[in-house]
Amino acid sequence: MAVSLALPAQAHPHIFIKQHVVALFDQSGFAGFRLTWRFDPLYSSMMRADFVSSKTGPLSAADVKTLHDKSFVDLKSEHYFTTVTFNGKPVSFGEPTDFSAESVDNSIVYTFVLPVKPDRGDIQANNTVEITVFDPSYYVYYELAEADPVTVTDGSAAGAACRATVVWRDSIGWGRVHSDLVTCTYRSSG
Amino acid sequence: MRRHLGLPVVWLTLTAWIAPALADPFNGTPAVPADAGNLSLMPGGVIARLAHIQMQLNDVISRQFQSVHETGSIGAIVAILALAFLYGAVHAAVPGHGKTVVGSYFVANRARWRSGLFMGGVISLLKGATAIAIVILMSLVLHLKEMTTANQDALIGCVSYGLVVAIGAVVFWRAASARGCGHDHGLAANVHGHHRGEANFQRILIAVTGVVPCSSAVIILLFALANNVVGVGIAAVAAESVGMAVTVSAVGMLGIAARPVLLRVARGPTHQLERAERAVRLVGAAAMVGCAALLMIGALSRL
Repeated sequence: MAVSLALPAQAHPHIFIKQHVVALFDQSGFAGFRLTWRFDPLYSSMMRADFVSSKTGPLSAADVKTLHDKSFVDLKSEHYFTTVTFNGKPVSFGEPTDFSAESVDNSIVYTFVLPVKPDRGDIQANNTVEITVFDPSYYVYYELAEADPVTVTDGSAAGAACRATVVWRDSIGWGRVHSDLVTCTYRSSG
Repeated sequence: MRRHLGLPVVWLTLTAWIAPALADPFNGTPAVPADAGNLSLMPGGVIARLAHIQMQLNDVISRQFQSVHETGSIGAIVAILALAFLYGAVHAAVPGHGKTVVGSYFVANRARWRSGLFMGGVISLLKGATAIAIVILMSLVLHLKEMTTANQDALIGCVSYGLVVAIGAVVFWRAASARGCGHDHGLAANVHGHHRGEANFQRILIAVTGVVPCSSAVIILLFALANNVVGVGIAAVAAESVGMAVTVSAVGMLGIAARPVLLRVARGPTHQLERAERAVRLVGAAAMVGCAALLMIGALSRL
């Protein structure tokens, strides 16, 4: 494919994504993040023209599969622009699961889960997980959505709480730029 | 000189800082980015802010296009043109768009104010025209995928920036071998004798830089096509080009204004005008080669 989301360095952002981050917990503790990416209407229109069978209305299951196979999977080589750290150490995440796509108000919206399994040895009584989604080439610009940007699911038993801050990230050719950082803390019963 | 310098500085500051306030009333969402409590004069903060403004403009423009499509509202068309102008001005403030080429050219070469205006203006308008031609050819005639159409600037950019590197190298060589001429010349000025070469030189630079379309113009036009309002799309691209022209010309004028300042610094207490002239030419030409080379590498990596 000549072009995908996963384009390297271009001079300026051309894809704008509003993001929601949900920290997921289960019985064994922290389980990963569910990310929701809402593409800007102009880029959504191009995605629609290239990957979706209809011009308007909801996406079919076949459309979702096309978007996944022809566009979303290409982001693997960019690690989905995502960096996760656990108690300060970078931690790798598994293949994304639960991918879905829908058309909301003329925007294509991706939702998927990045499963994160911290090493048992790294888990302490009080833990900090951090996630940033950032394209260093700045071709894709991410920012947290205005409404409910960060939430927690099933984290009350672990006393989980998340907050969003802004950090500096090194970009390619742009120097250091602002990027959103989501920091979650929770207790482990061990 | 100072009097002239004020305008471009004010304009560039406006695009970076006042635009969010203008963008705000159109969509009712807070214009302040997430880092509002942490506003910084550091470029990184400004860059994220510019991206945020573009994101908002993108959103509003798309809604106005749909409104034109659905109701044919004249108000929406006027809004699109105004927003496209603003979008062009803000968009051109980020790297690319021939600013560095124009700015460093005018540091390297003495020129009149109107040459700066002319060069920035023509480059930006050419970029708009190329975007329209690209969409007509690739999307309407060849029916290529929209993302392929939006990405064609990688190849064109590669060739174009390569040529700018070559032009910068020639300017550098001429400075190094003291071939440049010392007095005013500009496209609009009466060109006589050996100055004809310099004017042709500017024309080549304009053509080479202007031929790279801006992806944002292509994307807006494709969106207009998808909404069956091609005419409004073409008008929007024209308005965007004018917005870009203002910003790029402002940078050209800054380059022109910076030249005597640099010259004064380079002259130092020894008052050796000729050597200072040459030093400034060399610096300007080197900046031109460096910037164009970086842009070329960026375009290469997208091929």
